[in-house]
Parts: sequence; structure tokens; C-alpha cells
Amino acid sequence: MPGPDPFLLELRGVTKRFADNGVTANRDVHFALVEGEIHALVGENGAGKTTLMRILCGLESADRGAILFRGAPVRIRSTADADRLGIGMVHQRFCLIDGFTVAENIVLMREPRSRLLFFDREGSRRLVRELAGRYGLEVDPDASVASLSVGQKQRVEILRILYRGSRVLVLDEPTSLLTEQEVCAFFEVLRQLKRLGHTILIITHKLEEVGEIADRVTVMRGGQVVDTRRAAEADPASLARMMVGKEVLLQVRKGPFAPGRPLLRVRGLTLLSPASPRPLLKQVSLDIRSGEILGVAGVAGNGLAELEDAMTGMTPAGQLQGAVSLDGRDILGASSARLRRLGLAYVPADRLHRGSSLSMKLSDNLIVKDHHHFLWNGILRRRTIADFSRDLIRRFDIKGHMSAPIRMLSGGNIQRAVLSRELSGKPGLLVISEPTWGLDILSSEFVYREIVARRDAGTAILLISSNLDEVLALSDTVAVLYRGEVAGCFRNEGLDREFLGGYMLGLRRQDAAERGA
Amino acid sequence: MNRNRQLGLASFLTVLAAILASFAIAVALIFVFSKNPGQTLYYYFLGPFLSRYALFNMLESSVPLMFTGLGIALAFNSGVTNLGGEGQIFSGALVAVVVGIAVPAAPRALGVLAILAGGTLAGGLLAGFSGVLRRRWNVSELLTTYLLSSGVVYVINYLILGPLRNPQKMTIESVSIPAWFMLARLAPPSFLHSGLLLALAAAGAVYFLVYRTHLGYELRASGSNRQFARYGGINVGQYFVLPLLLSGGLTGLGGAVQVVGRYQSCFTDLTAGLGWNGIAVALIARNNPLAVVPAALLYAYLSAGAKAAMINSDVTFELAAIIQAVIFYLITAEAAMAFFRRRLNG
Repeated sequence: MPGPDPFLLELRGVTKRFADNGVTANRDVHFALVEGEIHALVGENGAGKTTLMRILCGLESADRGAILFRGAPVRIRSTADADRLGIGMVHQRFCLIDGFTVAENIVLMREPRSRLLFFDREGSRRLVRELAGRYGLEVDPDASVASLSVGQKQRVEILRILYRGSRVLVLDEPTSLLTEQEVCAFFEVLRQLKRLGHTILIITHKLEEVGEIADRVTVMRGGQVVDTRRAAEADPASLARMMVGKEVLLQVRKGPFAPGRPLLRVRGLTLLSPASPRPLLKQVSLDIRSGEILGVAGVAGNGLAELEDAMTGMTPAGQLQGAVSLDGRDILGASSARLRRLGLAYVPADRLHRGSSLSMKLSDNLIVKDHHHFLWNGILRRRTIADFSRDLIRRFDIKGHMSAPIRMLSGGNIQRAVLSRELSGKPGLLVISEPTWGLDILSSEFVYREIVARRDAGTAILLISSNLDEVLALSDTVAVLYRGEVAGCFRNEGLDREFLGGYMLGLRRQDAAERGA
Repeated sequence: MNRNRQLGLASFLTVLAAILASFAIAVALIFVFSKNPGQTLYYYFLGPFLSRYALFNMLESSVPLMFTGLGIALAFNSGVTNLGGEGQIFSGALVAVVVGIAVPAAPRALGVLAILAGGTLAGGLLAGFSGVLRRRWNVSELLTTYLLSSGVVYVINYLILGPLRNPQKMTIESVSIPAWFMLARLAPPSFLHSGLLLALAAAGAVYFLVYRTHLGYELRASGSNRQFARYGGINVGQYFVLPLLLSGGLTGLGGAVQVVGRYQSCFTDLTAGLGWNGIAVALIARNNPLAVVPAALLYAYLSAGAKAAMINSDVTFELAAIIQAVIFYLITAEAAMAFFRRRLNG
């Protein structure tokens, strides 16, 4: 081997499989950081970026493979281990204590003491000022964290890991919440950190940022590393191609597309939330006919979750504008209860906390959609409920007892329980988000068949998924959301991943004339 | 394999372990502080069983605990907190007296029914008002039930000391309701009255309501996970007022039963912490309405034991209180932890 190991930190053949849902998040991953570089890690949702990062930071442990630090094998079994190696992480959601000052947050857990025992307030202010000065990260040590902007909070997070002596900074989608001016300032900070010899791993969806800030870039897809190359040689289009891949593996057999009457009609739907400076949904217009599957694709953070909420009555009151009608009835801002009465079935992306009540029995969970139907003078018909539950348990192969709390079931079986409930019966409109999260291939195929069976029976289906293969395999029509807007809407004929990927990543956009056509 | 049954058994065993551990600490405390530990232990743990009189009085003292325990358990099942048991019992008792003296000539059954209904309504409206505040202005019912209850106690004290005071009694108490409205004594000379049967019936009714009816299903769904309930098409907004109304109604009924079963009138210390002890009972029972019955009995047994030990041995009031506190602390802490862990996970 020629010379010493050139890498600061290296992963060799790392594999991580999650036992509870059987998903292999990282498969034989080789990845390396050079000291003093800014390295970008890009990939679709579920490509394995987050798992890789969590392994580096000691939040997950790999099943197989080795981690090398300066050429020597190390084990990172906890965040304390990562800390000792000088690896620090800034999460996408900040972990700061609102009621504390900036200085208190930064020194937390490593507080300077005076006379052995007491918190040294003046000392910690001084330390924070010094640190901030050295890195050019201006903060007011006495400001309360609650009063800071997102960009300022991010500085505090970075100062905190620097205070702990981190030399390797792992940043999870650091720019996703920043305004454009803040992004510029943030990149300046990164360059300053680099000049001072720090190594930075930045995870991002924004391909244009890669060329701007990174020295090298690694692309992941399906739990594997596709390639690592110099950022200067990677233009956004080629990165997008690598991210989405080309092959469509998934084939779902479905009958000819024979749409019926228009059922769901959305016009100019806009979502303004007090939590966000820009609209989370902007002038979204969509149509779904009975017997049609409309697939909505997009990268996380571009309005998919908001669209799911808006179509199912889960958006907080008063935030929606525009016009939405279901079968001719105005349903803008209608409650979930009203939509359910109008025939809505809904599989939420969050199966655990929205789709189920973990402390209630499996059978109690299975009847929630139709619980009004199991009554005799206001009393629950226990035998009918038991028969109904047994039927779903058998048909969807749910492993669990119907009178056990649903939290006793494995993740995959909770998924199946939620799916079985919402796919049973004859819904007029089915909103289904991430239908195969956490399911193995056989179960996924079963779910696809069930979805197609609803379509063929005349249900209008809104499919929201960050899995592009799934969208392409199931949909009759595909809409792409980018930054809360419909970037494009197409009949699903001859579409491929690369084409849609361009719209998902904001590289292409359908104009009004094209949409009208 | 019945995992469900195993779970139930496990949760029963943990409660049992907590009870045994707390008993062990109580025994240790008695050995340290009592000059005659043998005698103290004897009265503390066997005192309530030494005579029919003591036994039936212990049963009597469990009756109001059953009502308050049921009220609190119903609230917890529905995901709302009712810390106003004291005020609700007290207003239930006061309104019971007022109704009783307002209709002295009514037929007995009708009169008793009116008294009980009045007490129920009083407690229910008091707690229900907190539900309205929660629904309309999102004010925490945890605070308002407590604050309203604390305020109401003073208003009722004023009424007892002033307009409703019985001038013929040496003690400070309200006028008495006619004697023929009093419930039947089941085992004289003890105080045990037929309110016990009413409490048992209430436990059955609350259990049926919570686990077998449509309303109970929606209450449990809203209580265990409001987002899930809303998602499932349940109108969760209404489930702040209704469960508090029912919860306060049960506690208020408990207050009215104290009047028609035991005291015949209302006096300033009638509640004696029953509202708070109801929370302990509900936690020991893991919010299961049927388990409230044994939980209330356990609570009454331990209180009666402390009293017997104070009368018959050298246990001071303070020591009895400390021992009682240790026992309840351990049992409820274990139950409360399980409850709140579930709330957090759910």
C-alpha cells in the first residue's frame, strides 16, 4: 500500500439493516473524508444518507464493515465515542433549549466552573465570545435562544460542536430552513471553518449548492454509494441522473386506464402557515377522476406532507386558500370527520402517531374509520367488530392478536393494520402517502395490487410518494411538486425517472402553456 | 399463548410488588419509631378486621373514594385532567342539602333521586365549565379545574357558616335534610349504607360506558391520541367538555351520597381530601373503572389501619401520616409512571 492512509475518516463495506422493518438502509458502503475538505452527500429520500451519517456519529451501529480514523480501525458506538474522535453533528431540527441563553446552550454539559462547583457565567460568556470571534460567527452570548432566527440558531449549534472540540462537522440539510441571504452567510462560515482546517460533511438536496461549496461530492441511491467525484466535475444534471438512476424495476399489472367522472378538483390551493415565511403550497391545481391514480412526486420539504394534510382535513383551520371540491361539494378546510363521511379513506405517512393509537387494542384501531357502523343503539357490536377484525387480520396477514394493544405489534404489522383499515370498503377518494414504507417486497406487491383494485373499482386515488419507482409504476397521471408548486403534470406514458427527476430537483419546469396542452 | 393476559398479569404483579415493597418500608418505619412495634403492626394491618364495626366502617369510607376514583379514571381515559375533585364533591354535597331542604314533602324515592341528581349536576357543571374554557380559549383544564374548585370551597364555606347554618347545632354545619331521605344503613351500628351498592353500580356503568359504547370508544380514542381520533373522523373538539362534565358529575354524586348516606348535612371539612385521594385511587386502578373498586378498598383499608394504630398504640398522627404517605407514594408512583410513560409514547 503506497504511503499512509490519505483519509481522515473512512467507511469500508458498511452495511446496516433495520430488523424491525427489514429495510437495508446501507449496503456495502465505501465512503471517505479527506482532512480539510467540504464534502457533499446527496441522494433521494431513503437513499441511506441519514443512516450513513448516524453511523458516523454513533447514533446507529453498523451490522458489517469497518470505520477507520486516520487509518486505524475505530468503533463508534455512541455519541460520546464520536465526540472523542472530534466528530460533531448538527441535526436538521435544532437541539437547543429555548429558555437558556446562547452562552448557556453552547457550554451545556461542559460548563466552566468557578470554585469547583458553581456555574461560571462570566467565564462561559468570555469563552463563547472568543470562540465566536475566532470563527467569525457573530452571536450575542446573552440573547435568549427563543428570540433567535433560524440562521442564528444554526450558528449556535455550530459553535456548540466547535466548543466541544469537533474537527469533523456533520451537517444534515443545513440550508433547508435558511433564506437566500442566510445561505450566503452560512457558506462564508463553512469556508472559514475549512481555512481553519476543519473537515465538513454536508448533506443536501440542493444540487446547485454542491458546485458552489463542496470540494467533493458523493451520490447515494438505494442504500449504496453510486459514485464520489470532484464537485467541479459534477454538474447538477449529471448528479440528478446518478441520484434517480435509470432502470425502472417495478412492474405493476393494471387494467386499461378508463377514468370516470371528475371527483376531486383542486384550484389555486395555497397554504400559508405562520411558521413559514413563504407559502408551503402555492397555487396548486390538480384533478382526479374516479378510477384514476394521480401520483404526486417530490423531494421531502417541497410540499408533499402539506398536500397530504390539506386533502385530508388535517391542516390547522384558516391556513388554506383556493378552491377544493369533492364530487361537487366544496371541501376547502373541511374537517376530517366531514371528509370521512363523504367517503375519504386515508393512509397517512405517519402510521404510528396519526394512523394508529398505540395504547388501544388492534381491533379498536381497525374500526376507527367505520366505527359508526358497528353500533346497536350506541353500543359497540363486539361480535361484528371481532369478525371484521379477524377478516382484516387474515386478508392482510397481520401478525398480532386483535385484543392486544397495537403497540405490541412490529412496525411492519402496524403498517399492515393501517393499510388494511383504509383499503377495506369502497372509498370514493383514497389519499395514500408512502404506501410501502417499511414493507418488504412481497407485502409491497400486495399493497400495489390492492391500490390498483380500488382504482379499477372506481376510487379516485391521490398517491403521494417520495419513491419515484412506485409513482411511475402505479400512477395514471403524475404531478411533481417543487417548493410547494406544481412544477409539472403529465400523463404517465413514456415517463422515466430522469425526466421527472429534473422537475423534482427544480432543474426544469413546465410553463402554463405546456400544462394547458 | 395469550400475550394480552400475560400483559395484564405483568401489570398486576408490578402493582403487587409496589404494594409489598411499600408495606416492607412501613414495617421498618414502625420498628424504628414505635416502642411496641408488635402491637402497632397488629393494629395497623389487622385493626380494620378486628370487629364487624371496624370492618363495615372501613367499607363505608371506601364509598366516596369509589365515586371520586371513577370520576378521575373517566377523565384520564378521555385524556383530560380533573384536579378539582375537592370542589366538585363539596358543591355536590351542598346542592344535595339545598335540594333536600327545598322538597321536604316529596315522596322518599323521588326526593332521594332529586338530591342525587342535584349533586351530580353541581359537580358536573363545575368541571364542565373548565371543559368549556379549554374548548373555547384553550385554557388548560388542569389549572382551571383546580382553581375553580379552590375558589368554590370558600363560597360553600361561607354558605355553611352564613345563610345555611343550622343554628340549633353546637358544631358548625348546614341545616340537615329530612331524616327520611337518608339511605338505608346496611349493618348498624356501623355507618355502612346502601350508597355502597350505588358505587358498585356506578363502577359497572362507567366500565360499560368506556369500553362498550360508541361514546366510550370516541372518548378513549380522543384520550389516547387526539391526532389519531381526529384522523379517524371523530369530532375531538367536543371531547373536552363532555368527559369533564361526566367526571365532575361522578365526583359530585359522591358528595351527594356523603350527605344522604352518612352526614345528613354539609360541613366545612366534608371533603377531607377525597378529591385528591380519588386521583391516587384512579392511578392504582390504572384507570380501569372496575379496578377502581378494589383500589378504593385498599385505600380505605390503609387509612382505617392508620387510625386503629393511632387509637390503640403509640403511633402519633405524624407517623401514621408518614407511613401512609410512603405506601401511597410507592403505589401511585409506580402506577403514575406507567400511565405517563404511556401518554408520552402514545
